[in-house]
Amino acid sequence: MTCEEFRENVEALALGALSPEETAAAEQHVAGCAACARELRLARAVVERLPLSAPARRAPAALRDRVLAAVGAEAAGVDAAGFARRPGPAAETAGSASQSPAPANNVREFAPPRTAAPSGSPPAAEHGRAPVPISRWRRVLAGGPRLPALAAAALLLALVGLAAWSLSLQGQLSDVKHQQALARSQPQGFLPVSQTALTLLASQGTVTSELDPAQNATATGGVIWNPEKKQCVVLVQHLPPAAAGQQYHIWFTSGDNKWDGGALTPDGSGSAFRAIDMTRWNVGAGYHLSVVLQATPDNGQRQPVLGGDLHASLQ
Amino acid sequence: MAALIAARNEIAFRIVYDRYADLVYGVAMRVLADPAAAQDVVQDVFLRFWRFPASFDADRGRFMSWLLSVARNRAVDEVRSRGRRRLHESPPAEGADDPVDENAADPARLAVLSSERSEIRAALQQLPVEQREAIELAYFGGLTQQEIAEQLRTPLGTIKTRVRLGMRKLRFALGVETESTGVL
Repeated sequence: MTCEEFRENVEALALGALSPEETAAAEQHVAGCAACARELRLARAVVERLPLSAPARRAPAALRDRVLAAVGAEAAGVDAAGFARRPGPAAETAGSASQSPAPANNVREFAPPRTAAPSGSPPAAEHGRAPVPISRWRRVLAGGPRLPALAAAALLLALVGLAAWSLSLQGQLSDVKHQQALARSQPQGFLPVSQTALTLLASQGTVTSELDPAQNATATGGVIWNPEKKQCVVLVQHLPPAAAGQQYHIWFTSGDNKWDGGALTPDGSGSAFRAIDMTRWNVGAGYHLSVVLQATPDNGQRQPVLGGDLHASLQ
Repeated sequence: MAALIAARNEIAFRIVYDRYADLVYGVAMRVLADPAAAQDVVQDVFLRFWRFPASFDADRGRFMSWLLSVARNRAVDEVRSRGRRRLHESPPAEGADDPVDENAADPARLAVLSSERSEIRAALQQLPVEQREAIELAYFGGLTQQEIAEQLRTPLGTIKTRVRLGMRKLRFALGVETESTGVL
């Protein structure tokens, strides 16, 4: 294929609209032609915007429940099929990319390399750990005869998921009763925390980082920080309940300075989150954040649970 | 955020889900026009992201574009696995099928439903109908140019020209002259 022929086909290649033979020829050419590779990247840049033209649709709340319940089950060590989760990275190689003639926009999907699967086979058969079809979740949540205890656990996780419904329900003003019931069931403060997190995520300069568990601690967490807005959100999960007279707290240090980020109160599932306004602090380009278990009132003895460093990206 | 999800942070996952589920569902509906099948695609896309968050490579582009492209590909797979092709239709009307109110006073949602979406829609609308139709059949229908030609009973050369011209007009209208990079 010549450069001229490639340029005639570059848009169709980016759209995934060439035949397999044409695609192979075009890809062979572009692999050795920097100028045509640039043309392909520009065509892909157009293609990657096409899905934005699709009208957004309100994803059903029940779907959210199912997805979050499946995630909760996996995070709890039980996969969506109700069996103990296989540890280690091996499971992460079992997924597969889409088998569609995807637009050649370099969309690297889930965990290639793909396992061999006959074209046209149903998704559940394609992948090592394919998502459980919705119909199956209905059975699990309904308490199938095979795994009633796990079904109950899944239902419990679904109920935990209910606590975080606030965002998706914002638009459902017609369902006032539902929303009122939800408000009663939510952990206090989740809604503003979610909104702060979303706002930060949509902002330039936002930094995210995982928090590392202290020795013998089981909690995991992360922090979303925008140095310019001087706001951060701390997200923690798997926190065991604090003993009487104790409380989780977030502490920030930078050089010799130390700030109390406030208490962190886990809900029934061990999840806790807190949005923190840092505008009155003189935090510079970075700080160390730690979640500790401390006595109430604070006696200065603090047992670390999670910690991590955050640094603003210098742009 | 992908790093947080890689650390199995469910709250981070919830935030990502709440931010993008309506968009993913919209893309799946655009391809499949079948709520049940589209919901399966949404579930599939998000669970795979939960399981394989490293599949998203921030150096290659924006998270939203990547996620929606994955949704489109999965939806097209679904169409093909069922052995049926949805005949080309106009995009579902804005008022139909439980649309999201994109003018809702929700800063988080508005942050996602940015001017970028209006821009691509406007650019598509400015194309001649035949060019827009060819591009949408290729992208949302998952058809090759040859298949489009057969479906529309139009010479292949004509389809190729429509695709090429339409895409070039889009590129110009969108001001695409540099490669995109971005963040979640």
